[in-house]
Order: sequence, then C-alpha cells, then structure tokens
Amino acid sequence: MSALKGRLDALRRASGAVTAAPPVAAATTAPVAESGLSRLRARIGESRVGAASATRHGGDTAALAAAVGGQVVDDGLVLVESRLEAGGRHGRARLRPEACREALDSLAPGATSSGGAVFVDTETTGLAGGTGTVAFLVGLARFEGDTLVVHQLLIGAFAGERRLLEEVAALTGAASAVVTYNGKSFDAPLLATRFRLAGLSDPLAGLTHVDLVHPVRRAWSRRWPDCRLQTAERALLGLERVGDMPGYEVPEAWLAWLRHGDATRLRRVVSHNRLDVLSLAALLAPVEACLRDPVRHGACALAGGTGAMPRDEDALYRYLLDRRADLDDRALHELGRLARRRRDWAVAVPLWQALAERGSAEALERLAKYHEHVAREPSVALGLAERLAAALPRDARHHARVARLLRRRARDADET
Amino acid sequence: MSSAEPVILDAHDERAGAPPASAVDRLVARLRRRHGARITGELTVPARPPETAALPPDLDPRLAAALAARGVERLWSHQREAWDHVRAGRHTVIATPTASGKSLCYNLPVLQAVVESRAKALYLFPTKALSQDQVAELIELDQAGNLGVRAFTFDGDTPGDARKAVRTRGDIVVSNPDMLHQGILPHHTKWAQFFESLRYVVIDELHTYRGVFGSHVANVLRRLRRVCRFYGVDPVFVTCSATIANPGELAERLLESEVRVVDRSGAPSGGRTLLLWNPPVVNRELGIRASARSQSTRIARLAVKSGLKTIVFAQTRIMVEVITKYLKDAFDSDPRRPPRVRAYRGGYLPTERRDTEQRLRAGGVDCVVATSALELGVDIGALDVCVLNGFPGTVAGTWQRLGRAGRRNRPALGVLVASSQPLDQFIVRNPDFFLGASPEHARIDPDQLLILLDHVRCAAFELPFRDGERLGRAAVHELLTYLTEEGLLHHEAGQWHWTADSYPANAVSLRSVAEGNFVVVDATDGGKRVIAEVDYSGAAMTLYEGAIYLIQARPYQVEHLDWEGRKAYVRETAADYYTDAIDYTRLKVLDQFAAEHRAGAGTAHGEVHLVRRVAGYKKIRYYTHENVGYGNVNLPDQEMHTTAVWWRLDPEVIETAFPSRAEALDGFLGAAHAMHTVATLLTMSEPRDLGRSVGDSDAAWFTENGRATVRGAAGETIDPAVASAVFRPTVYLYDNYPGGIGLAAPLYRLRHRVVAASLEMVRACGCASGCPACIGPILASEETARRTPKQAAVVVLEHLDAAAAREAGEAARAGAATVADRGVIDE
Repeated sequence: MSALKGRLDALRRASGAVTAAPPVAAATTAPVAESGLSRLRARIGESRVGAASATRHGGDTAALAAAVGGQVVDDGLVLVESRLEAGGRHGRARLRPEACREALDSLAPGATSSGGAVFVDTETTGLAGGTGTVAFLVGLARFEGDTLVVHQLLIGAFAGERRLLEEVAALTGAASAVVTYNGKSFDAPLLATRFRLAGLSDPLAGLTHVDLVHPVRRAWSRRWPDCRLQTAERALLGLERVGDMPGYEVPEAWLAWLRHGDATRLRRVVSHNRLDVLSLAALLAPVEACLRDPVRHGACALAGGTGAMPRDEDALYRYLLDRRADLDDRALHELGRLARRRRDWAVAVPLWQALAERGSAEALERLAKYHEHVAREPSVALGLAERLAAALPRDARHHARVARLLRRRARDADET
Repeated sequence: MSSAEPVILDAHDERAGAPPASAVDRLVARLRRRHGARITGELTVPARPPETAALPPDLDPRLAAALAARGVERLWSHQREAWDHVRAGRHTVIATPTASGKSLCYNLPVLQAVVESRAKALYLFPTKALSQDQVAELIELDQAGNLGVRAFTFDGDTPGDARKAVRTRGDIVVSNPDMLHQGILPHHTKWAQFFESLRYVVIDELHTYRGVFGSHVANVLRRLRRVCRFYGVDPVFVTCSATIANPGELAERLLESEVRVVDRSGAPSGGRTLLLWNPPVVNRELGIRASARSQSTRIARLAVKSGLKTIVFAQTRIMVEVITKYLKDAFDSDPRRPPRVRAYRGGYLPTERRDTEQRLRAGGVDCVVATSALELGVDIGALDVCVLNGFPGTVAGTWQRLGRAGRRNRPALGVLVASSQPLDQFIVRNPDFFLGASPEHARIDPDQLLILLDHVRCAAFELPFRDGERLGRAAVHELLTYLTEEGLLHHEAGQWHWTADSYPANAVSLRSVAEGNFVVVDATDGGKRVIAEVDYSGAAMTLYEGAIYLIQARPYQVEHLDWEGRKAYVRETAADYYTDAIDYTRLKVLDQFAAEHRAGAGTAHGEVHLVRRVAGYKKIRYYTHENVGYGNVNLPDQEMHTTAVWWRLDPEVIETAFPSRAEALDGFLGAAHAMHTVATLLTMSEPRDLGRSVGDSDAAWFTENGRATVRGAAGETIDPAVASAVFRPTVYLYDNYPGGIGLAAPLYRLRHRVVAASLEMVRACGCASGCPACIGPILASEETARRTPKQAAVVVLEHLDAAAAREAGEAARAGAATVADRGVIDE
C-alpha cells in the first residue's frame, strides 16, 4: 500500500499536481480506527447494526444526539426539534403568523388554505453540486397553529441518509409550498439528486417554490454589498448573528465528526441552520411588503412583480408616478421611458432635465431628441446636442446630430 | 482498406485490356508523362461491385418508407450484417471505408428501437461539428419517414434553458466524450429518465480514441456503464472506426466486452489510383524540395481543367486560404459567375459551411479546399480527385480523406503530396505502408495509474463504490484507500462515499495526464488578463523568464514565472527575435523488463527515471535566424518515471566504426531523429507522445535535445572526448507521460522494424549531408565534414540493423512466426 502511495505521489508530482502536504496528524490515528471498524463491520455483516455501532466514529448516534441536544431517530439519524411561539423574537423582529400567512398567499396564491408552507434549508458537504454532494443536515420549519416548529435532521453517518430523506418526505408531506433562500438553484436540485440516488420520489417536486433570494436581489442588489441571507437578516430583521459559523467551515465540521468522532463544532452548525430556517419564516412578510411598495421600504422601485404588485406597465407607471419624489435615478429613467412611450411629455421633460443636471448623458440625449423632433425647437436641440457631443466626444452620432442641426439652421436662415 | 485488395503497379505499367480511358485515367497518364520522376509510388485499388442485402423483415414500415424516400430499396451487405448483430444485442464495431454508409449501420437499429419502444440512444462523436451533422441527418430521416423521433445535440454550446428539454425529451442525444465526462455523468440523476430507457450507445470515429485520449475515454465508458447499471440498463454499443489494423481489439479494450467486427464492405466503389508524389529537389546539398503547396495547386489545376471534381486537403487553416487564393486566381477571375472554387475550414460560420456542403452535393462547385473539418462524416457527395497537401499523420487518416474521392462506377484519383516533414518524406519513400492491411495499431492503456486514479475519483463522486467493486476490469481498492487518505473519500459500511467539496471531473482533462496547467497573464498596463493556457509539460520550455511567447504572431515577453502558482506574467513587447529553449533530458534506467544483445548491439525496454532541465535559451532573429544572444533559465527540474526503449552499440564497435567520439555522437543523434520519426508512425502516436534522448547508457552524460552539446551529471557542458571512460552512447525513445501510456512495450516488439525502416529512410533521402527530413537539421559547417552527419547516422543504423537482420534470419530458419510480417506483432 505505501509503495502504491509513494508511486502515485511521485507520478502526480511529475504530472504537475501541486501535491498537498502529507496527511495531517489526525489521519495517523484515523486509518487505524477505520480499518478496525471495517473488520467490525464485516463481522456484523448485513444485519441491522443498531446499538452495536456505538463504537464507531460517525456511527455513535447517541453521542451525536447528546452533543447537539437532539434525540436519536434511527441508526445514524438525529432530530433536533425546537419551537418559536407567535410573538417570539428573531432579531428585532417578532414572529407574526398571520402576516406570514398573508405574505405566503400573496407570493404563492392559495398556499395557506391548501396545506401551508414548509421552510427548508440544508447544510451540505460542499457547494460543488452534482451527485457527490450530500445534505447532512436538513432544517424544516412548519406552522402548527401559530407556533413555528423547527425539525432539524442530522445524519451522523451515510447509513442515516435514507431515513433522513424519508423523514424529510414525511415532514413535507402536507405542505403545498416550499420557501427557501437560493433553494431553486441549490437546495432543491441537491435534495432531488439525493432522493433519486436513494430511489425515493422527491417530495418537493410538486410544490410551489418561493425562493426569497430572487425578490431580495431585485429589490436590494444595487443597495447592499451582497444579497446573502445574513445581509438580508441584518437589514430587514435587525438580526446580528453572534459567533455564527461561517459557511465555508460547515463541511469540515461534519467531516470532523465523521472521521474522528469530533462533534464539537456540529452544535454550532445546528444553531446556524436553525437561524437560517427561522429567518426564512421571518423574512417572508417584510420581503412581500417590500415587493408591494418597494419605494416605501427603501428598495429599488422596480423590484415589484411578484404577487401583490402587478407586472403590467400601466400599474408600474402609476406606481412610479405616485412616488416620483422618492425615486432613485434608475427608477427615474424607467419612469421617463414609460412616460415617453405614453407621450406624457409633461412628466418626461422635467424628469430628464433633472437627470441631465446630474450629468446623465442618456437624459441629455432624450432631451435633445425631444426638442428636435417633438417640440421642434432646433436651437434648443442644438445647444443640447453640443453639450452631448462635448460630453461624449467619441460617439459619432452626437457629432452627426450637431452637424444636422447646424445645416438646418443654415437652411432656415436662407429661407427667412 | 481491409476488404480491398490493393495491387501495386509499376509506375509506368500500361495495362492491357484496360477499359476505355476515362477523364481520370487520362489525367493519370498525363501526370505520369510530365512528372514521372516525382511519382514515388502508385497503387491501384480495383473497382468493387456492390453486394446488397434485403431490408430486414422486421424493419418498421415507416423506416422502410423513409429509406425509400431517399432511394434506398436494399441495404449494402455490411449494413445488414451490422443490423443483425445490433438487433441481437451484440456490441459491434463497423470498420469499412469512408463513404460506405456507416452511419446507417447504427441509425437504422436505433431509429427502429425508438419508434418501436421509445428506447433512447446516446451518440458520441469526437467533435461538435460532427455532432451537428449527425443531428441534421437524423432529422432528415425523421422527416422522410414522419417518425416523430427527437434528436438533439448536447454539448458546451447547448444553452442552459434548452438542457432540460434535451434531458427529458430527447430520444437520441448527440454529444462528445468530454461532455459525457464533465456534464452528464456527474449529474446523472438529472438524466435519470434518459438512462432508464438507454438502449444504444453509438461511438463513431473510434480510431480517434487512442493514446492518452483513448485511455481516458475508456475510463469514461467504464463510468458510463457503471451509471447505466445503477439505472438497471445494459446498453448495446455500436461503434465505427476507420480502417486501422485492429478495430476489434481497440473496441474490446475500450468496451471491455466481446465485440463483433463488421469489416467487409458491401458498398460499391469505382477503381482508385493513388499516387505518392514527392516535390522535386531544388537544392540538392541542403535537401530542399519545392513546396508541397506549389505541387498540390498544380495538380488541382490540372484536374479541374480536365473537368474533374476535386478536393484539396491542407493541414492548416492558413494553407487552405493560400491554396484557395491560388486556385481562385486561376478559375474565378470572372466575378459575375458563381465561384468554382470554395474553401472549407473550421472558423467559418455554420451557415457558410452548410452552403458549401450543399453546393458540393449539387455539383455546383468544381474544387473545394478544406482542412480535416471536412474529413469525417460530413456529406458532400462524391468527387473525382483528392489531393492531400501533406501527410495527415496516419495511414488511416490518409485513407479516410482519400475516400472523399470516388463514386460508384467511376474511377477516382488520390494524390498524396509530401511536405518536407520527416514523416511525409518517409511515407512517400515507403509506398508499401499503403499496401494490404493497415500497419497502424491504435493502442490504449485504460489502467495507466494516473488516468485510472482520475476516473476512480470521478466515479466515486458519481456513485459510492462498494467494497470489492471494480471500475471496469480494474481493481480499485488500493486507489480508494489512497483517496481516503487524501481526505476525498470516507469508508463506511462497505461503501466509499465522496466527502470532498469539489467537482473532480472539472479537474480532469481527457486530453492530457497533466494536472497543473499554467495560465499566461498579460500584465501590460497593470492588467491581469489571462491570454493563454499552457500544459504543465510545455511550461518549462515556453514560459521561462525572458521567453518570447507568441500569440497570433504577436510577441509577449515573460517577466515573471510563478512556478508554484502556475502563472506566467507577460508583457507585450516589440522584440525582433524569438527564443528557443536549450534543454536536455537525463534518463536513468530503473528496471529492465526485457533485453537482447547481438552482434555488438543491444536493445532493451524498461522503466526509467527522467529528469528534464531547461538550462537556458537562445535569442534568434526573425528571417535571418542568426543567434543574437543567450539567457539563463533557473527552473526546477521536471522529473518523471516512465517507460522507454533504448538502443546502443558496444564500445568496441564504436571504436572501430568511428574515428572520434564526436563523430559517433553525430551518428547517434541523427539515428535518434530518424528512429523517432519512424516510431511515431508505427505506434500511431503524435510526435510529442514519444520523447527522444541521446546519452550515456550509465547516465554519466547526456546531449542537449537535438544538439551535439554534451552535459555531465551536474549539467555542466563537457567535451564528449572526455565525458566518460567508456563511451556508450544510447538512443532512448520514451513514453512522454508520467507512468507511461503503454507505448514502450509495443515499440520494443517493433525494435527491428524501427531500425530497418530508419536506415531505409536515411539512405533513400535525396539530401547530401543530412536534412530535416531524415536526420534533423544540420549546420552549414557540417556539410564539409570528412564524414557527413548523414553518413554517421547510416553507420550507426547499419550496426544496429546488422544485429536485427541476424535475428530475423535466425528466427526465419527456426520457422518461428516473426517480425517478418513488417515487424508488427499483435499483443
């Protein structure tokens, strides 16, 4: 074996691999334990392992349950259950079940009456995706009456995965909608893969999926440094996580348990996941409210479009018009565009003038066109065109416009 | 060519009782008359009558209707033979000549299965262009028969929003091995529906899966079959190959299953003449010949003037454009008429390529000049004359291109015009390479340790390994243990689970063994733009500090090389010179697997430890090619273990044969150059797959690569006269990949053939003192040496060959089956 290892290391170095340092010190104890383990497992054979597994790392489910404050569901699977009552605090926010239901019905019409939502967040062995990534912890929250009940399913060994998936299916069963944060691209396809590999059908497949990251991005991507869940929590819920585990440490924490029986960091993973799931429920109402009236919530005025806020142009026009005093430049440009399409020059022109004063070449160009073609005031248009040509000397179109307007002025002078 | 019986004719043989001369025959006669001296060989393949078979009785009537709509009432015999094998669930390889209707061999049973039972099929082609052609053909058949079959390509160009539709709705998915490796297998659960109904896997151009690429692809197929088992299917593989020596063997190694070979073509073909053409010598001393381009253009002009539809194949895109221009100058001077000459190459827009294809089929174009983009698969109808501007690198590839010319009942002409490249020159002087069975064996080594390790990683990501499970035929327990120690896997309850946060397929390129590519970063104006990527193996030779790195002929100078970080920082420059690395390779024999020693010459093969060092570089001015300076290079040595074959002469033999060590060294260097050329051809590999080195057999000294400068153990330059007490120069040809890719053992079996053919090649070369075509470039001063480098190389090869000849004679007397059959021995 060591001969093969030496040979492989040499060959890989020769082929340009940046070889890692020799295995870390911990590994010197782990393989011994593992080989002992495989002998043990060979003796146990195919029979259900049950309590006999207590001696192996990654298999001592009771120890794991104790370490994270949960209970053993099955060999290799631990459940951590917790509750948040109505009015309970999450950051500066309080849990308001009614607002939550209304928001859900707005984002996924009919969801509340047909089974409600399940809030889902997973912790995984990595972000690579594909068939080689495992969700070792799945947090699910559901309302029971006005109480939000959080079920966190944690596997202590690969053997527990099948049971975990069955539990996820059971807990998801009655729901008609699933709420996640970036779950459409990550959690849902990952779970679909795990269900498929286990030969089980995917319980999330038929549900309406409300992925909060999309409205959050529409509303705040230009205002926040990023749109991570924790950024949204901080801004919308006033939640500052203290001592939270950074996401990149999560896989290592689980592997430390799996390989060396070290569960110390898993407790933090569990609490990190719990906060994630609670935030999904807590964010639902503020995010939905913001979609309905983004300007009032300091979000990008164009963020509307899900549920409450109709996407049609007339509604958007009226909405922007009503709040024009509070709009940012991007929204003002959009309002100008909509006004132009409606030939609503009384709205458009002052708006472009204000934007042009703030240095917007686009608004300047709009004004120049307006004065040349609509108002038919070539001298005003020429002044604007000259400003535009000076501002953007490399754009030939503006020089052409200046030349055209000069020709016209000459012609007009001839005629008079 | 396996089913044809080529007959070699004397260059001036006038056949009695030949049919009335056709336009092609008249052209051949004219070329012979005017340029007889340039024709180094001529072969004819007699016309082959059609051999047909009835449509299979169980063929779906809609398919029969689709065939009838294309005028097909009966199948060629090999198409029917393939149908019978495939329908019976037998893996099949079809190895019949170009244009014999190979694609119908797989399309027919696949379409039948789709319309019968909505079975699915996966097609793999080596390139994207071929995939698109194939889908076009399937759509045509589908429409002709109103079959309702959905065929899609799935490759890097497939837009994200279309991918789901391909996965769930495609009956036939046309892809390539790289996409299967990186895009499909690691996401197989998304393809679950597809895999559950997968009945056929079609692999065309099987002969391209050889060497490193083939060894990787064999492992990708192992992974594919493993995933198929997970979904409870065991698809039948239908594969097609050009006519190489061992299509069945290659298919069985790739599939690790019994494979039926269909190699008797029932498709008719007209007679075919092949001329091997060597441009005339214009400078006898330096062995310089007229350019291949001038000859190809002339032949094509004559052919088009004779009213013959002509295709010219060139090796590079730029050469396509140059030849097209010359031919257009001759034929397309009137802009009001539709063009008679068209170019076809990669880089053109698909619409333009389709337009040219369509015009070719319709007969509206008289001459097309193309790169290999037109070599495979693409339907352009049949032409009369095919001119190859340069040897395509393999005999199989040559026949494949020549197959473009030749219609039923009409004779065709192929002309292979040699360039000054050594392989070209060797080929035109050895016409027997084109005779009878192909000499080329496609070889792969799926169990090459690094390649296998790569794919064990990928496979473990796709599905956990169970204890005792193999990847294909390879036992992988130790590799799994290794990967577990590396922290990538976790062993639990008899299974090995992937636990790393990475996507291993992205780190594995099917085209190389290297792991650490270098990126070239343009730091001009403080930028950080990545402008190129260089293989690990090429980095030391091209990215040393001070090197001029060329992109599209624009020079960049390397300012800083971050070896550990795998980055080279370059800056645009205006240098009027380019740089050429001075490197040398030291080999130390670690283990000798087999050896023979006869008549003062020894040959052996075994495992070697190789150290490559770049010592410095030369600055060479453009156009004048004068040496305008040197620079030092300080890079870590590159080491690898690989396998090699080596040849040497006893010291006493050298002492009597050569007046000085320097002259003997010249001889070994020249011989090594020739042997490298020949070995490349015989092992069907790329020149860079095999490395060559001349050095001491005890590793006391080595020569700079391609130069007679001798370096000692510490890398210092030394005088060969005092290099070591006993002078034992040795020619090493080594497998240029860490761990080897299985070239050395077959090369050792071919050792006599390598020497004999090299000797033939050098002797027959028209140059006086040695030239790039035979023993490599020589210095002007060497032309006047007492014994020329060429003579020295001949002496070395003669002594190596004497041993070989004796061996062959003894073996023949013993009546053993031997290397007499061109030295080719099957494994």
